[in-house]
Amino acid sequence: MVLQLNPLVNTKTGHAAPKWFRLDNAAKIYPVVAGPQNGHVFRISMTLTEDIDPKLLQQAVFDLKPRFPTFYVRMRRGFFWYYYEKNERTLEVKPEPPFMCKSIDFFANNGYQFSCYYHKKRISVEVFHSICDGNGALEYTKSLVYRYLELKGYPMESENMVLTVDQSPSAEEMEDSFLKNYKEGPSTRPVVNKAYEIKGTPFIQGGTGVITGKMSVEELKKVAKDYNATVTQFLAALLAYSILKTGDRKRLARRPVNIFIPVNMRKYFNSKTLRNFSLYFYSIHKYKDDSIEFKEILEKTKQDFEEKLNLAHLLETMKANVAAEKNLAVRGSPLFVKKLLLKAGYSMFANRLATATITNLGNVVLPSSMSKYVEDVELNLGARYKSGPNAAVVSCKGVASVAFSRGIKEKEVEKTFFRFLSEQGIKVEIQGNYWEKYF
Amino acid sequence: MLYCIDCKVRITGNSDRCPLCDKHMPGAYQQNPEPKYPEYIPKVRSNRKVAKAMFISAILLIMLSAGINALTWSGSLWSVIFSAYVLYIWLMGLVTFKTRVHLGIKLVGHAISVSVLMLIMNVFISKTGTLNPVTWSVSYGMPIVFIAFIVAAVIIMIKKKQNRKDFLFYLLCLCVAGFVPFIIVLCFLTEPMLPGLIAAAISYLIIMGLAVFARKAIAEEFVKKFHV
Repeated sequence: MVLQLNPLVNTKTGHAAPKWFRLDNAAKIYPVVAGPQNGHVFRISMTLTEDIDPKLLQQAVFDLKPRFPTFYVRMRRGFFWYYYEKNERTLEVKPEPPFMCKSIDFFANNGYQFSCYYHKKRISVEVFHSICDGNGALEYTKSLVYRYLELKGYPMESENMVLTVDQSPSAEEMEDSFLKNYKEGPSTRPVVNKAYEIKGTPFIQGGTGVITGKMSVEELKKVAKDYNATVTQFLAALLAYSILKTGDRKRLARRPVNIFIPVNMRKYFNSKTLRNFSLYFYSIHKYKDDSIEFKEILEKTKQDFEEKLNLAHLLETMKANVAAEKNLAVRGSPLFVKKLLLKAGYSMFANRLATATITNLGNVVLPSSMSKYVEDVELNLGARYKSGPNAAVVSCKGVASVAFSRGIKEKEVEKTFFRFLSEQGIKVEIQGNYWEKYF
Repeated sequence: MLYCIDCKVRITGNSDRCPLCDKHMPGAYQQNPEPKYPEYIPKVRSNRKVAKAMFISAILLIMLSAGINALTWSGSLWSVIFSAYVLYIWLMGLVTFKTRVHLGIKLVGHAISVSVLMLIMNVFISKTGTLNPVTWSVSYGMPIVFIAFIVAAVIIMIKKKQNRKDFLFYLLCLCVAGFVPFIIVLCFLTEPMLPGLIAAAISYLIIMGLAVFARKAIAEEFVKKFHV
């Protein structure tokens, strides 16, 4: 199919964008450690009120190219580092595959680091974490759906809530906010011990088992408020509680349950970047005995949030990460040496620090002209081979979606998690991809 | 919408089981005819079988040749040359068809590996067992290989206008390697010198051409490739 740029699209933007980009600080690790068993891919999808027209979606993807120069790139190998270069080829939209968040085959994807899918009423964007984080991907998905609806002929008004094709990309959107906001100085990376690992029967051929629970944001907020906690604190504590309740007692006694919680740094630095700008902290829970009380876990979670979810603590992590990148010995080492060391370090240490991840993208606000065509928004994390569940939370139009992705057949954690929510009086609607029935 | 009494949750999708507890719920399809996610259809991956068969065949051939060589020993290690051939053909198939690296890298890789293979053969064919000054691999083989690969890279660059810049760096690598046979020939004063000289001359001309017509693009490529 030959695509032509719509006259509305601001083509000048193509000249404003640099021809190549260095990978940002967080992005550097992903090309090295990503593989078939863990693609570091996540998905944002929007379900519309009507079936998707693939031709119009293809046109929308094409039209967004000048607006999102940091997305339409391909990765190249340098002598010292990978880098991103403008991709001149076409990103083809495809029917949604059953294997969710599969490691992206860049070669088959014309070099692109993200894929765009459609399934009935749903538009999904699967992104390799190296080009952006959840917030960057959300902005792109919003713009894609907005553009698609425009092409459908609906009257649209962005209300400054969506990046549109008639705008130019700004330098702030393309910046590496880690480097911009990093302050030199001695840093101490917080010490985290190896975490308890959820074990189970792996899906023979890989893949992601998905269970998504949908519920009213109001009901969820009310319950969290009754416990004197925020929604994220409540859900993070519930995840830890579910793992502690269902885990192997002997192994739990040896290793703590570490809940990995990503933090969007944009609000701290007023950053508008569309690339990675997230840091993280761990909420750590030690198993004592079988008399596990949710309230106790929640108190520990709240304490961790108070101690670690602050700029000073997060800056320490940022300093340590950027200092590692700026280290002369690291910079001067050839890429293959870096790959060897990073891969070994990641598999021996970093990969074993988290029991599970929970990320909350927050409330997605859409312009009213767009909102009436969007039924819901979902966020899904990719699952590592043989790994336990990770949770992704997002809400839109008063409905919160908590999506679990797992690499094992067992789903005890999810069962405990959602049963607890329904016991609190929250009406939960569950859907799954029943991946276990295939393998 | 279906309701799981055990989990106290409502179920969407067209399965007849609760996604959490697997409890059977008859009549689910009638109530929710549309699956939320696409169905998985297993694919037969014949490529993997071919690759496995190639690998096993290569190993068997190498072992067989080593065995025959040992049993019918006549003072010559011909099985090493044969094994090098087999290994190269297997690797060539693997690198060319299986690995998804840039075509430029494949060209440079093949040019170097073919040259090394010829050198190995030359060393083992030589009666002394060492690199003979009058070696056909350095005098003819390597210059011809580098000229062929340089020409191939140039043709690809002419044909693939869109990706022309991508090949600049690899063409430059091939041109630099194109001097190697002539340098070896000069060092060992091997005769004839002409093929090596032609390869070096072609490499020099292309490097000069690139320096005149594509200096900016090459500089950009170097900045990208070697940014620290």
